[in-house]
Formats: sequence, C-alpha cells, structure tokens
Amino acid sequence: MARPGVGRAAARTAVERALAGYPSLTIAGRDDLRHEVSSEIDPALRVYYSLFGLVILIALFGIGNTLALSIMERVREIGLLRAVGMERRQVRSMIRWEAVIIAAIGALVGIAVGTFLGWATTITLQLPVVSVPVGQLALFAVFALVAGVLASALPARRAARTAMLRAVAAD
Amino acid sequence: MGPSGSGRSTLLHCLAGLDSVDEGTVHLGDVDLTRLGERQLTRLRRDRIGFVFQSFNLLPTLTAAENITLPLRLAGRTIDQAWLERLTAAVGLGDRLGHKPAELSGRRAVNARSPYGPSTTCPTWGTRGCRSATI
Repeated sequence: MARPGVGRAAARTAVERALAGYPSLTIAGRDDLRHEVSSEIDPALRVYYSLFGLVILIALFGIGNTLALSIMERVREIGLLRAVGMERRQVRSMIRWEAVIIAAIGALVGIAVGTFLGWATTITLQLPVVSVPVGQLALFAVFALVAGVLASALPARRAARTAMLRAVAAD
Repeated sequence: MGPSGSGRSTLLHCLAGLDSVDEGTVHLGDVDLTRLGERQLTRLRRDRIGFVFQSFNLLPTLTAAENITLPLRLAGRTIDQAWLERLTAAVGLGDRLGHKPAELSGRRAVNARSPYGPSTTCPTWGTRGCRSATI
C-alpha cells in the first residue's frame, strides 16, 4: 500500500524496482485491470449495441406499419372527426400520441424485462455487484419515444389527408 | 326534395363545407364558404354546423355525452353542464349520458350533437328516413 501523497507513477516505479528480480510477476494497477477486463467485454457490448440499433429500426417499421393499418381501418372514424371539426393538425397530433403511447409501453416492458434478466444473470453468475445503469435506461426510454414520433410521421400525414366524404357518405 | 341521384347529398355536402363547388358560391350567413381555406372551413364546421348523418356516425369508444360535446372539445372550449343537461333532457337522453352508442338509440345522440352550439343543422342524407329535413 502506497503512503498517502505518493503519486501513482512514483509508486509504480518503486514497485517495479522492488520486483526487478522476479520476472514472472506482472504489475497491474487498478486502471490496468479495468482496461484488461473492458477489452474483453467491449467487443461483446459493441455487438449488443448494433443489435440494439437493428431492433430499434425494426420497431420503428413495426409501429409505422401498425399505425398505417389502423388508420386504413379507421378511415370512417377519422373522416367523421374531420367532418365535425377536427383540424388536420389535431389529427396528426392524435396519431403521433398513439405512436408515443405504443413506444412507451414497449420501452417500459422492455426495460423491466431487461433489468430483471440482467439482475438474474448477475445473481446466477454470482457477481458481487448488481448495477442498474439508471441514467442509460432513462436515455433509452427517451430514445424510444423519439423513435415513436419518427415512426408516426408518415401515417400521421396520411391520416390528416383522409377524405371526409368517404366517411360521411351514406352506405 | 328531388329523386334519388339528383344531387341531394352533393348539395348538402357543399352547403356544410364538406365538399367544394366547381362554380358559384356558398354562403352561410355573411361567410362565403368558397373563399375559405381548409383550416377555416374546418373551424366553421366545428363551430357553426351540426351534422345529422344518416348512418349515425357516432364514435363507438366515446360515451353519449362525449360524442355530443366532441366539437366543443375539439375547439378546446369548456362545456356548459347545465346546457348539456337541458339539451339531452330535451331529446330524452338525460339518464344515459354515460352509455356507449351501442347501448342506446343512435338517433337521439345524433340529434343532440347537432343543436349543441352550432347555428345550422345539416342532415347529410336529405329527407329519406326522417320526417322533417331542416337546412
């Protein structure tokens, strides 16, 4: 243990000098260990992040598709709303909210399940610390909501253009 | 008011600001509908025209009261409860405001939606299926 006030570099030189006669020993500070472990984990994380990006892309299309279908089914309803005075802007906003709600539900369930699985893995592997990256999870949740808004752009535009007369016409 | 296919519905659609005319003008009070933009026309429908559709056209997910006050809510206005009660009592809906359209006679709710606020009631199907048509 280094005395307080002794710099890291100085401590290291001292240790190196003391162990000069033992070539089979390697010296590793906390940073070295951390670096060594991360270099093993980082490639795996990179794979996970690229999968994550792919999943977001798929979810984007999923939400967009779901909305587009539901809008096609609701031509009458949307046309009626337009007839009794819903502005185009309000139609777009309604669809956007639907997308955000879908995304929020997805994000919430995903984060809950993911956190649980992470916790379970940590327990199973008997790792000493369970760490939940709250900030990161919150960031991803915001990310999901933004993705929802993006996904709703085209369906919302389409809904806003719904022809009223098709809804109103007697059949 | 003319035989089937004579353009009754088209006329009503034009009068209600749902469709645009190729020639001529449509006036509602002092307002020339043919000169209004899309947004102004939407607001005019919302604020001044009540619709009585032939096929009810109520939103199945909203209660009777919510269907009736829909245009007001779209306009972001506060709802006068006393007004609503008087109105719904007049069409015999007073005790069923919380019901969904599937649970009540659509005609009553439709009729209630039309006179609430708007100055003009426009039955979009002309006279068929209804004893009196007012425009």
